[in-house]
Amino acid sequence: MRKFLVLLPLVLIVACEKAGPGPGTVLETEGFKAFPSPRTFDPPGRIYRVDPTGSVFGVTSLKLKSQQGKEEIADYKDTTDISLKQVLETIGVPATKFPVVAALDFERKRRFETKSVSGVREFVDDEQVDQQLPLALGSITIRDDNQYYIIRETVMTDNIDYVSEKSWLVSLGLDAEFQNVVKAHSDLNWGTGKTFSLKKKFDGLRRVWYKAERLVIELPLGAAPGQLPLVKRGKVAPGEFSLSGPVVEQP
Amino acid sequence: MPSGQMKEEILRSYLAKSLERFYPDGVPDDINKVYSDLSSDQLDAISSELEDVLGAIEKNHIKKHKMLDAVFVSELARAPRSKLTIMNLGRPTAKSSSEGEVFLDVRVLQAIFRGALLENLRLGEDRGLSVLLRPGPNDPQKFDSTYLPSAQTEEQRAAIAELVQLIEDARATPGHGAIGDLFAVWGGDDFSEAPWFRMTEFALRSQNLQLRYVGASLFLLAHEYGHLALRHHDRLKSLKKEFPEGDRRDESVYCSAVRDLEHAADLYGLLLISPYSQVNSPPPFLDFLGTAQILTGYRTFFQYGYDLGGFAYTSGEACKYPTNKDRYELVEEVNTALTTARAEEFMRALGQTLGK
Repeated sequence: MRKFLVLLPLVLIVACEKAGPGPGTVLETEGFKAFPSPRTFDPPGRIYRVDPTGSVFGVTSLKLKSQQGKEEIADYKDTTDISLKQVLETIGVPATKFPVVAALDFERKRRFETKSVSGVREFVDDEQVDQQLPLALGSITIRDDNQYYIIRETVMTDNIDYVSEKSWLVSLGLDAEFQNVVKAHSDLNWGTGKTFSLKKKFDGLRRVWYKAERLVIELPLGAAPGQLPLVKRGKVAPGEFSLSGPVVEQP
Repeated sequence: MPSGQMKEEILRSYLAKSLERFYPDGVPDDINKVYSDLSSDQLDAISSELEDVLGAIEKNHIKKHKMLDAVFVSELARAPRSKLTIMNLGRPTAKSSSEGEVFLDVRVLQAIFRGALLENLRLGEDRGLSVLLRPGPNDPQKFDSTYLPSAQTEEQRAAIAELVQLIEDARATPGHGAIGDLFAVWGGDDFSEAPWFRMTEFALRSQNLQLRYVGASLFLLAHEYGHLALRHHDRLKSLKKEFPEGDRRDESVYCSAVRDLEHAADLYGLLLISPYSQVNSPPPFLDFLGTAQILTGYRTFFQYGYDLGGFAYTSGEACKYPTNKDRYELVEEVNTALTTARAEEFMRALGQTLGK
């Protein structure tokens, strides 16, 4: 079993919208993406599908016992699209606390950079997944025109630190109000520089990052009914799959 | 053949090896137990043997390509490649993928093996020429959908015990070379107890058993290969494009077409294996022991292996799968037409030769 050490706090930076991705880092290279919000659900083994319109649906969860290990990965960056609204929700501030005119800006996706992380990585091995996938998918209607994905690994942490530039809040004239509202819910550090940070400590571990795999499912031709589907796993291409939108449970 | 050589061949036969694999302790206490405790060496050996079978199917496909291509509506692939994967999950698995993979679970092989033993027991060893007669209403040769082999636990026990005994007897009988056999016959009181006669008897008794077992395995693999040869995976893809999910009710054109794929793969299996689907084959009435009929394997598979293997009779899929009875009857009908046509063709040719 892989074992890692927790050493560094997790820091997410809300970068300006045009910020490009940073240099390749361990998790980025491995294909991790940030969940839209830190969470206790969506463990490794959760399966999603994406319909032709791009809507994401929950499909099922494999009953897996994931393996865990503490991990330290120093100074890595990733870019992901997330809105300030989601950040505020994470620290427990409803966006309705702010003027309606700001809503659109709050919902606009911004690029986040993760500069460093400490946490607990949980993962499942091929052997566990391959044993259960056909059985789990055998009782589900597989839609020909949908794409299927499975979460293979996540990184959890019990604290998070968002950093963003002040300028866009200042330009909206919301900087003072923002400070007042947010201070009550998180450890806000407005400071004197160009950026501010929001720290949030959770009362337990939250999943912050996930790594997904594409599932290619084929319904085989067999000698009798009830043959389990054939499932192959493949790497997710950059930008191919993201949980940044709303997830609909299986209708 | 000297008795020593016969003994060696019997004990090395596919039949004896399968008995050792599936029932290493003889007749199992729990007859319904799915024996899956196979070593990786045993699985490798099974895989290697069946790869040879699949290889033979591929060769026969190339040999019969022209004839087969003339029969089926869909264009036949010239030499589709296949890759066999033997699974040991204890599930009734026999399937193929669009990439030419054929998957088979050892549970199915075990079921076919037990089915062959059971069929042999029911039909008896001394049927001789009667296997060529058309089955009567209560004849165990006729497909009986009310007969469920999985429920016949005592028959199953007896069938396994019969083979265990046969192999034990063969093992216990001393084998000789040709000269030794001569002296054993010459010097003994009872000719029939001489090793050569005993071994000949064992060889004859095990022959049909082995043919049934090999035949049913061959038919099943040929069915799966048929899906590849007949490009059924491509056909299924195009059907799915043509018919949206809402148009795939059981009575739909889509479901009918999907069922046809299974029937076509069955017929492919029959035509690939049957000697009567090629020109210049011997006429069926010269096959006194019914070897060709047994080797086509479909009856052993549909009547015995299907049920013993735990294959489903229904499923929750939108399209109902054709039943094993429907599938058997169609293959049987075509087989009867095939053998009849071959016999008539032979008689016509004979008549012409004799100047009629």
